Amino acid sequence: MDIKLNDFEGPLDLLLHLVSKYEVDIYDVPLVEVIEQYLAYLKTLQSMRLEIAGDYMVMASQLMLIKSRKLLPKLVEEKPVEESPEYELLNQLEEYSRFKLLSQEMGQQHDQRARHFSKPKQELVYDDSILVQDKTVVDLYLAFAKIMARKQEEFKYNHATIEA
Amino acid sequence: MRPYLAEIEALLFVAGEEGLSLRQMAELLDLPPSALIQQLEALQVKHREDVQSSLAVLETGQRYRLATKEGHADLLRQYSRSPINQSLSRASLEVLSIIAYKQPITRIEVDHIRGVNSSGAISKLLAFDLIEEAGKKEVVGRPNLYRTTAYFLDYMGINHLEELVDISDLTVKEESVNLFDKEELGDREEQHEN
Repeated sequence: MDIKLNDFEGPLDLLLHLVSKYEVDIYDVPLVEVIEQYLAYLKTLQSMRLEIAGDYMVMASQLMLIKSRKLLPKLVEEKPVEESPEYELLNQLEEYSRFKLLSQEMGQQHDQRARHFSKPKQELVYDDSILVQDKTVVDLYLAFAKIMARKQEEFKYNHATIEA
Repeated sequence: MRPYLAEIEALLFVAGEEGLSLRQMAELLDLPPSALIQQLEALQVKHREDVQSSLAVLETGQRYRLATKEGHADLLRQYSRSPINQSLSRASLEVLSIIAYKQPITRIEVDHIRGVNSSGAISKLLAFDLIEEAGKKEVVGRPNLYRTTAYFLDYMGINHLEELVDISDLTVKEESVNLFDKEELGDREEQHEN
């Protein structure tokens, strides 16, 4: 295990990584095995006294529930498969994997656009232009708030590429 | 014969990154839109064929902008850093893609798809004007709905949302998820150096 938690965008991303190693369809993965790996991984991190985001813990408890249910013998088939927590988890995993892929595609699409540069709009001023008084105190407030929000983001990342 | 190409170029130059819509230019130049499109195409050809010109007319978000050609990107990157030329973090991109394809959508719904809290990414995307609030969802708590902005179209270099990658064209490739290919590790180390 040579992975760090900040390589992942949350528990679904980590699960997706564990699942992808089996190279089968998401719905065919040996779920109990994956769950054990996930829990083992979290345990390793904890023993190294690393801060683990709460989201990973919530997922761990969901996984434990799924695992315990899978291990217990079924008395009666109470619910259809579609409603079981494991099926829901697999659905979530599949949807997340699609968006993960889409966001990568979108990143590439933007990189194309980012190769073109423009200059800011030039504000032209003439003596005979008349002021249209269509702005209020609220507009002024929002305009300044927007500038501040942006600046804060920029300072956070120190004018470098925005890498979280 | 009026020098339409020069006039269009002058307008686009002053408008800068804000750009102009077809209708605005048609009114200013007193030209029917179809004739204007012809002139714009002529201007694009003129720029394209002149290798000693750095400019190109870009049509994104249904507005026309004067911008530099792709080839100068590396030179200009050393000099200019405007928001449109910066790339977003993985987290922000994920959130943006979910909002783009599922708009209007609430923060909770985005969180559910990603499995993590997305407040940070959403406030960043709001600050950069890539997304905006689109009313409230009529459920308990009346949470905000979010959608993408006109600037988002420009950011992606497209005119309509339909031009985004088609969800159904994507098959989830197992290897694309593997973070630990040697190549990828190399890429990531480079990123850390930057």
